[in-house]
Amino acid sequence: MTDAASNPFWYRDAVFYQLHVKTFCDSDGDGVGDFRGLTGKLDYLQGLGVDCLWLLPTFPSPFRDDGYDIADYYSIHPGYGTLDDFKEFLAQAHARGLKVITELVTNHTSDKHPWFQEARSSVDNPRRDWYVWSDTDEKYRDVRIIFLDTEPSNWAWDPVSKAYYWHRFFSHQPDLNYDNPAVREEMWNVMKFWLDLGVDGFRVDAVPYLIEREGTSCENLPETHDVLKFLRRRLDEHYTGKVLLAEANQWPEDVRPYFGDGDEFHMAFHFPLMPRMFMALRLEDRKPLVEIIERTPDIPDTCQWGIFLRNHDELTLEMVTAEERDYMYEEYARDPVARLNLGIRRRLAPLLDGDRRRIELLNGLLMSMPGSPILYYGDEIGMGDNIYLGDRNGVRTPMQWSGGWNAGFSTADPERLTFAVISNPLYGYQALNVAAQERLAHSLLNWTKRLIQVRKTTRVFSQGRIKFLNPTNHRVLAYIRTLGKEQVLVVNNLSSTVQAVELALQSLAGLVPIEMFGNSLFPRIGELPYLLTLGPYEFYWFRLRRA
Amino acid sequence: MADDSLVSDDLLRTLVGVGHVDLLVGIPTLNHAGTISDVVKAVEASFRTYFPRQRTALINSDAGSTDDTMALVQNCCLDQARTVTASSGLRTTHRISTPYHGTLGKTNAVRLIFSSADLLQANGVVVLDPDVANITPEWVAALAAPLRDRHVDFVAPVYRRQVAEGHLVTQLLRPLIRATYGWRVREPLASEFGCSGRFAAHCAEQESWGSHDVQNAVHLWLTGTALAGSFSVAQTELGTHQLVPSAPQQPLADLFRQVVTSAFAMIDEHAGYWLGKTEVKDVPMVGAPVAAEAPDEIVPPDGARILESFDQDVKNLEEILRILLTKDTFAALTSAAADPSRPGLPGALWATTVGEFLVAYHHNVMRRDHIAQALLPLYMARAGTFLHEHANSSPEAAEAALESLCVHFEQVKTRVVDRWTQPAVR
Repeated sequence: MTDAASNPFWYRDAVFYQLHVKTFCDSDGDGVGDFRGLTGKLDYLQGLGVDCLWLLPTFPSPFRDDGYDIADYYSIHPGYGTLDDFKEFLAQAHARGLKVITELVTNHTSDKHPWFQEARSSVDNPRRDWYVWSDTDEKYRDVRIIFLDTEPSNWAWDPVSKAYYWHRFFSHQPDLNYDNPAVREEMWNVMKFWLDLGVDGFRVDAVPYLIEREGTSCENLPETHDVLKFLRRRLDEHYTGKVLLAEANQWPEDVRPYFGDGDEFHMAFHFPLMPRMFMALRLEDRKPLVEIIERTPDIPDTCQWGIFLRNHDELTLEMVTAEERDYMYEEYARDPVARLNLGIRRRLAPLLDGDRRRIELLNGLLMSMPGSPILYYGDEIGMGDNIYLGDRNGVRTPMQWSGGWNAGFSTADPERLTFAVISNPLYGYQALNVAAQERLAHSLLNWTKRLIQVRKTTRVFSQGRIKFLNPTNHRVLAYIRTLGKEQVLVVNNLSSTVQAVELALQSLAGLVPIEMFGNSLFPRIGELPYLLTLGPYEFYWFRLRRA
Repeated sequence: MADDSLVSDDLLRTLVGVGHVDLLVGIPTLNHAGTISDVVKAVEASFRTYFPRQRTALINSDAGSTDDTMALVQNCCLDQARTVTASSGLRTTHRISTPYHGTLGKTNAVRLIFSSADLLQANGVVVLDPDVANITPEWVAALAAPLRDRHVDFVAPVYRRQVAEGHLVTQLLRPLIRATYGWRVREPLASEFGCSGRFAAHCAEQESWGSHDVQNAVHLWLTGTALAGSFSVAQTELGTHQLVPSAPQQPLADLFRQVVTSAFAMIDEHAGYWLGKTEVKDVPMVGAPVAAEAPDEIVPPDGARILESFDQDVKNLEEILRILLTKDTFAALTSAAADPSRPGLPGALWATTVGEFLVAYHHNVMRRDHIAQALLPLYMARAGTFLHEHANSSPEAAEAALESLCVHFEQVKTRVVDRWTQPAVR
């Protein structure tokens, strides 16, 4: 496979790994992860086989939203280290062939950011117009509230300024005003600063909400796309091989505009696919998955979907129907404490009851469906969560490196850790950790490495087209991925019971399926339906060869 | 174990793909291209609306349609099925259309549906009649929901009938089944019903499917089997029942003979169940009544005209009636037939007559199909009497008369029981 470093479209084939510096590895014993600690774990990440690291925000911040409330775009939070530490980390990552993208929170800042402090100080302040102000809270009345559990309104009253300011997220995160050209220029300056340091791109937070217009939903407006195209133009004028990854939690057809004609985002998350993987698994029915993929529009050849199972946020149930949401809550979040906003704040393994077979199946789907897969840190070892931590912190607990002190995350006293390590009998660090799994040949960690390795033997999964076979047995999800002459047959048993399936492969008669993990030969495809049997939650990848 | 010789290899292969289901809806067909699309649409709308989380399947068991029935089952309404909307169900819904072999008739179609339900381990089964023009999604829900929610084994429909409708049921089968089995089932011959997978599996195992009696009145047999087998039975109100038969109806004489013979045979077979029952209980009503439009008024036939032949019919049957009936009953019948001032066959006398016919059937006093045949003119007289008396009655008055008829049948039971175990008495 071509080295991603020499390929400007490397992101189309990359496996991403999302991590939180704060909880990955602490080098100085203060209980908080840092860049030096992360640098020390780059060998692990390289060994895992991932291609690109996506870091959660590491900017100076009051941390009322875990760093997504930014107080300074041009620095590193001192708890994570220095700018030099970051540069060293970046150099070491690149030396190992790992790319790095960081967060770019464009929609809002912290209310502690100097820009906002200036803006609120006076209506005449030059930065006044950098935010969205109003004398009343009547404007944009019907716009939905995103953080339903905590925010009663999208407007907040500022007693200093004696005016309302607009915030689509927490009230301490005032929205920037992108109708102001100065804001756009400054955001480009932010991007340029980090790109000049060597980052390989940005995951751009909350992109649909940049612009407001009366009488609209204030989401996905044409003017928002103008802003994003502006930033992309600047990027293309100065750099190659960088990636902009959009966070736009929308239906696929509403995300499509964010790719533009290849002149806006390089990548965008496919949010609606994710809950449907969990839904299909519980229903034991491929219907939700097939429907959402078939509903997904084509995107420009230079672009790519980012697909994932879990991330740092709640498992979002915004892009599902009410019936589907109720079903997901009842099946995956019976404990109401697990529910947050419109989602479920649990990690992958607890969602799947720690069932190794289901974890493998969903990872198999992640690696074989169209898009670039994004792994969430800790899910490669099946980490658990703590739903009793506030907000979404329960899925952001320290990485479990070993069975030793603080799971090998930090030498600090346990009480000093930002979040306690998971220590319950099911997912406790004592037994569930990287060191233990590295010693076991068939651990989830080693299995995940193998999975990534097999995936990367072909570009079919990342760039190929997908065609569903839709056998009568709806418990089996079967599809063919095709790229040029290369074809891979993927068969997944979504059911907890053994299944038989007959696949209509007559159009491929004469080809020989070769199972890709063991390179075992299977009978040649003939004119009759191709019969396969699969154990519970089993999946197969077959390379189809003429022989 | 279900008799799977009915299940062809092709069907079995399909069932393997479908897997276990929560709800199976079966539709027996023969040349129903005119109505089947609407029925399929109603079923799938019901799945989406009322059972979005259930594993569902629709199976059409076809007797060899020469029109597009089977193709329509597979292909109709696919746009609605494929549209992702807020109301679309979570799960794949399967549509199976399969021919069945062997003896024509709805019996084998139902048997195939039951066999399939057994193989699919269906929790609930609903069978619909495509001759009915007003099937709605709410019908399916009304018949299926009690199976799921209340763990009922057999759900019979209740129809809102007009005076001129359904005399075979209202004048004979309903009161007869009620009196013998001790349960107030309104529609013992209904071609729509719901049943549990357990009941379907039980029925699929029975040897009697091949008998003429079951073949001729399978729905009656199912009702009797549910009652005699101590399965939990419930009823649900479906509103009106608008039949638009796809094929010419059987002559009444043939239909009557078959149904009555089947009824008597079934009652005879289940005697061990009902002989000792002395009380009559209500079958629980479940679910809210399905809202229905007022049907087109059916103009009742002239009951007086029907009764014109009563006297002559009795005279013609005198020899047979003297064998089948007691002297007193025969005399009362002759007198009623000949009474010009009050033409008709009173309910009490009709109940007594039917009871004595039943006993005669049990004792095999003559060829059993002749017994059923001999009852037909008396049934016509009874129907004519009811029409004559109630053609212009309010629904409440007509219903009260039907209830009174049922009570007469209940009162006859004691004599039936007394004579049942004794040698035939003239």
